[in-house]
Amino acid sequence: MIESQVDCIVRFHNVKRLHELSRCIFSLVSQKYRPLHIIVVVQRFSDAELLATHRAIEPLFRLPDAPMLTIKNWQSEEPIDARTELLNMGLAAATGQYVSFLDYDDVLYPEAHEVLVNRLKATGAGITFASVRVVYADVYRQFIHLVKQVNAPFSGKNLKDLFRANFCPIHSYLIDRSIVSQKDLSFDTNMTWEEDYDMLLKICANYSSDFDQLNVVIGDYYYKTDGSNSVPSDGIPGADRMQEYERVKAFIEVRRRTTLVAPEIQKQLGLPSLGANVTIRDALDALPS
Amino acid sequence: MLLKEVTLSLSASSFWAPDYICQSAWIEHAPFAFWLTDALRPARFVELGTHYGYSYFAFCQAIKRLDIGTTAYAVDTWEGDEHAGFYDNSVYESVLEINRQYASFSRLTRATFAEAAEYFSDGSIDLIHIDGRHFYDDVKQDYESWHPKLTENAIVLFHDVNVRERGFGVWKFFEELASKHPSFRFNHGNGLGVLALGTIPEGLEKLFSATGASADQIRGVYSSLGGSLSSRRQLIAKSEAIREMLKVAADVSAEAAERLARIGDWDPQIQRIRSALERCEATGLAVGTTGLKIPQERAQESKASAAAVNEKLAQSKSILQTREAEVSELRRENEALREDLATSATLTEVKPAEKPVTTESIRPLLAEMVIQENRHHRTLLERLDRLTRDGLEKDSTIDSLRARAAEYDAIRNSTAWKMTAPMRSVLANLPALRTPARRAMKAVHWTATGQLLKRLAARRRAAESFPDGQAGGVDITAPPPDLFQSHPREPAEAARPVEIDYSVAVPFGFTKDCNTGGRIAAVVHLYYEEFACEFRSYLSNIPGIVDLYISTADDFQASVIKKAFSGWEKGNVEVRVVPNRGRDIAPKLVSFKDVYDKHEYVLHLHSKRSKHADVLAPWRHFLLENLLGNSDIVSSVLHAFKQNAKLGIIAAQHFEPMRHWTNWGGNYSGAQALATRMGFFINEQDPLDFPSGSMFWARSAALRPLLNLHLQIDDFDLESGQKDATLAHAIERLYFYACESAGFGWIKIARPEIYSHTPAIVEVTSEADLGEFFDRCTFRLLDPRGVKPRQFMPAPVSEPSPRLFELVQDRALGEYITVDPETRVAIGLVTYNNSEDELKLAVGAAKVSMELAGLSTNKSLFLLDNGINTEELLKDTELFTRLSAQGNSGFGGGHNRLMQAAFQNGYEIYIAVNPDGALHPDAVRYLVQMVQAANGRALVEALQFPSEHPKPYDPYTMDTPWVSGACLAISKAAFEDLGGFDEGFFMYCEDVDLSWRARAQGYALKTCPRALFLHAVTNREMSPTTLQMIFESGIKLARKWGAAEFESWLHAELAAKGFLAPVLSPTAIPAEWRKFSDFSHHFSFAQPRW
Repeated sequence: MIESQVDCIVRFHNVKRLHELSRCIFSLVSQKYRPLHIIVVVQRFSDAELLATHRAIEPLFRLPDAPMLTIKNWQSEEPIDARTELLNMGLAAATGQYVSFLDYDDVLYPEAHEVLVNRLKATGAGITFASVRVVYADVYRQFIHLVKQVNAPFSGKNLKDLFRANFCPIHSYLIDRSIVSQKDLSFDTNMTWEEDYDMLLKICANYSSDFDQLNVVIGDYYYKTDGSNSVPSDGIPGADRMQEYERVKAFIEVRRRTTLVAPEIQKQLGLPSLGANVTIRDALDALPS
Repeated sequence: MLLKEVTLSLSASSFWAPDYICQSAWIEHAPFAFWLTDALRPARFVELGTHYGYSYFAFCQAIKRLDIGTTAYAVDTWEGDEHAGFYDNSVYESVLEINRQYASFSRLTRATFAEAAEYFSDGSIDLIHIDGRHFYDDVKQDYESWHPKLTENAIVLFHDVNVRERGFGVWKFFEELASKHPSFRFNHGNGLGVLALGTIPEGLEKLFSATGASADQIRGVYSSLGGSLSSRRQLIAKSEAIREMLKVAADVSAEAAERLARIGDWDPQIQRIRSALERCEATGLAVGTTGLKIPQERAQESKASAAAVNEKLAQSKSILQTREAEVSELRRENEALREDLATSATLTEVKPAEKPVTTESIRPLLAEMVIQENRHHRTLLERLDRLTRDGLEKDSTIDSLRARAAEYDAIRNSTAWKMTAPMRSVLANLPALRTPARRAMKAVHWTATGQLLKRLAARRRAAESFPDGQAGGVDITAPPPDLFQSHPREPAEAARPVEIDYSVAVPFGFTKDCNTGGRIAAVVHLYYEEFACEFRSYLSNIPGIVDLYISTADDFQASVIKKAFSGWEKGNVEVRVVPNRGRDIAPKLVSFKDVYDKHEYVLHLHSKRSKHADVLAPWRHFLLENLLGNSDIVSSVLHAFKQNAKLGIIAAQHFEPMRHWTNWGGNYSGAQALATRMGFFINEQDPLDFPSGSMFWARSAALRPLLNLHLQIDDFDLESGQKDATLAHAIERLYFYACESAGFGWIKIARPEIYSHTPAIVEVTSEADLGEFFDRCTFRLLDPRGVKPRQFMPAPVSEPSPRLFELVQDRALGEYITVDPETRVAIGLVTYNNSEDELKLAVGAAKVSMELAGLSTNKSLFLLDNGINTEELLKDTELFTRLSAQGNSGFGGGHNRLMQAAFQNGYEIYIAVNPDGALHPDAVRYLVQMVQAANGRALVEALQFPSEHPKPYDPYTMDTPWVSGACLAISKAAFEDLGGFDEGFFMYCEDVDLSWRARAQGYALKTCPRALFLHAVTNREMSPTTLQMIFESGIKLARKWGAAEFESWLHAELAAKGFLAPVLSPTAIPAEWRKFSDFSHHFSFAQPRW
């Protein structure tokens, strides 16, 4: 594990969206923080697609003090939607002390990693959170056109709120791998939705988490009007996804009911000591609403 | 008369029609569902027992239409029960499909009621509809198990409270509850019980307090409204059956067709039809069997076949017979329904003769519907009649007839038609009431249905659209037309059917010879001078010499235009100021009348302001792309003129969103008078065609009849925002006539990629093809040879082809431009005590971006230190051209020095780059492409990344109100014309000043959204000194541009922060330049996007 290095795992699914990936990587290359290792994970790309991907972003790595780049390709035929597997593949390729995540159509501000690393160093927490802004964008062939932005779009301000519902997009936090064990730092491949929230529940039930920088916006979360987001532009999924959502919701609830909250985390939550067998659900029930 | 408590239990929503109708015992309760949703506006709605979803989707429809943010949940196993029967998965699938349109707030929960209850927290449901199993114990259990989930003041609906057979027990349970809670009960549609658990929500008080007469009236109104839905459902079923029968009729066997054809042999009416068809074939419009691929050719050929003719006649006969039968049936149904409605009206009227059925507003509404539909009905009958008289001349006739039949079905089946039978009868006997009633009712109907704003906008668009397809001689944001203006009659269809309205595809698919030998003039009316750069870009596509004759409205605009066209190397440029009269027509035919003698060919163009919310906004670009979108297209046009000496005008095929407006409007009589003066006659019954938008190519001689009218400016109407019926509008419709009168023909061209709904675009791949097109696909208005105008308006096209927008984007972005490696591009950095990391990133990124653009980096980075010396940090001597430091000369002063040096050294484009940022590797290429696309007549800024400036830019033309100096590309010409930044600004606002000055001097301002410039401004603290500097610059800008109010605001801000206002006396800009400034949005200097 390379001390102080940030590994940023970037999921990329669609080779037709290279100009969006290029924006995303440009925002990473522009990070003030170093050392940085960018791991682009793709799903069953052909050689030509891999080449195109590499060509599109390679010039960014000619800039001074450029970070390292790794591109990993998920080649197995299964599952069809390997989005969770991609994240785990990225984690397996990580070599640094810290890890962050970014989808190809989102961006981080230049100070993002610097802000987050400073907090982890200052607090000794296993994970630290900041905020992201939501921007709505029309997608054209060669560029995207921002039409609206929403500051502080997600409600929630602390661990209790996170246990209740996810308000932390995948690029709003940084994890210290020297604190969070590999066992807890993995995405459940049963899930293709809310997999990041599921992992956050596991981590935050066991390791100290820091929410002090929620007032600092460190990046943009793009809601695109062409529907190419995993989250639709209107923020609400279609009917088929609704079905899936019900299943995921149940799964998350199972996670809440089976994940134990470590005593020190119970303390962080302000709970009286409830003992060793306190689940997230127990903790929530014990907390004032 | 309706009691007040009754009217308070009604609203416009009570009269909505459900979008989804299916078999359902609940069908008659939709009006109440709409009203209840409107009145209650629940945060969460749950339905237990959804089945086909009629009731659930009625609530969803209301939620969506009202946009009230309700979340809705349908709970059902979708397996059925003893009452509804058991069914397969297809029911669920169909419900799932319908739910897609409501997926933003609606979820289907496939579970038992008990299972689903677990998903809801206590006290979270405001409105629940219980419609599961109907045994007493079941409904009681459903209610009790869901009761904790309801909010304190929730409303509970129970269906089937009026069914007592088959063991239904809902009535009993509801009666028990009603004894403990406020309630209301409808008896129609199997009964619907409404229960208020706690305090009655606001807006529902009158419902729950209604007793006696008021309760009866509420029940009567909703029963009546619901009854109309039952009728509608029945009629839909009937209509479906009729359609099936028609389908069978259309598929009549050959044998049956033969028999019907024999009938046709002795039927005089059919004989007339057949004769007309034969005449049509004899006109020669039908194209023979050749190698030319003409759309509809196959159809024309098959029409020539006697067998096909017989078959079509047989079908027509069959359909007409069916129609006659339907008309009789319709009459009978109308009578029956009139009686039904009269009966239902008595339920809701205390004094039927005194007041209308529902509220004061409903009567006008109903009467309006009557008039509209009666008129439509009559029109349809007339059209059917015309069909038989005029004959089936074209293939489209049968299809059109069927379309009318479907429309006829829709009318006959409409609720309004049924409901308004009595009103029709009344108004038929009182014609004097019709006009005032119609006007008042339109307003009421539109208001009640939430259409008012949309209708107003549509009227405004309609008024602006066709009649104002001419140049903006007036800003057509003029007052909207009288909302209730009476339209005595709809303009008659005048164009030919789209299937035979031929155009030739451009560019031609063969090598063109555009050397016509004749001199070309572009006669352009630029009422909006801001389009000058855009027009210059398009005009550059004309190969060879082209003289420009540009008219505009005042001296200042003329000065802007002259600057925008300065350096035009393809010919002369003459700009004339003309009176704002006669739109673009008078300037072209009167003010520039002298031009035609000197030029064999002319191109007529004019500006037209775009409004992107308007479907016609892209019309200007559409015409420009068609007529001179690239040099290949222009070569094709010139080639056509050269090959055919009798070709007089080449215009663009109609813009699809406006082609249904191709008619005489109010211009026939004016046109007739002009035609008489020109020595020819026009017939309103014959087809009309004209270069809609009045932009076209012409041989000067073809316009001679119009020029020889010797019109004077004073002959044209004074400008007052007219939409139609002016001399200019009449002339627009006479261009092709005049051309023919002069002995020439005309054709239309089409760039196929920007048409989505236009047939008859003919590709030509050889000279022979083109000749054949001239021979067989052209049309003469003065000799129509029996061709008649289309009988039906083509389906309106709501938006242009998406490809048009792509072309406009590509043009602005310079997508088609390959950056020449010899292009000399300089990048300029003015440093001021930047960190080493910042500088190395800025310089390194600039170098990479230049290299990726294929440009030389040798000495191409111009650098000036306004602060500490950076020579030790940046040592790449091959890369830099350093200017000696002279202290801190400010941002603008520093860049001015660098630009001066760069351009003196032969550079063509200078890109100012802030040293605290970084260019994306592709940024330089994209910036250069855009500068070159604008022929150097635009200042082009990069997009600040990752946090964009909120000022807007047009995503199609990339126009922006001002450009930022953080990363800005400037051509040598721009620097020389504008003199660079105003060095009176030390820092801040100098870019805004430069931008506005640029616009005043004929330059465009563009954002290049592909060129990203990292500008780390997020989470950056602004020091008081910086703020002071910004405010001081703002004051200077305000003084220079005459913005006293803005300056006062800044004085107050500075004073509040303890700073003194600066003593500055900048030279004020000319007053007329102020129109380009915008101080109404503080330091955004434009309406921000967020």
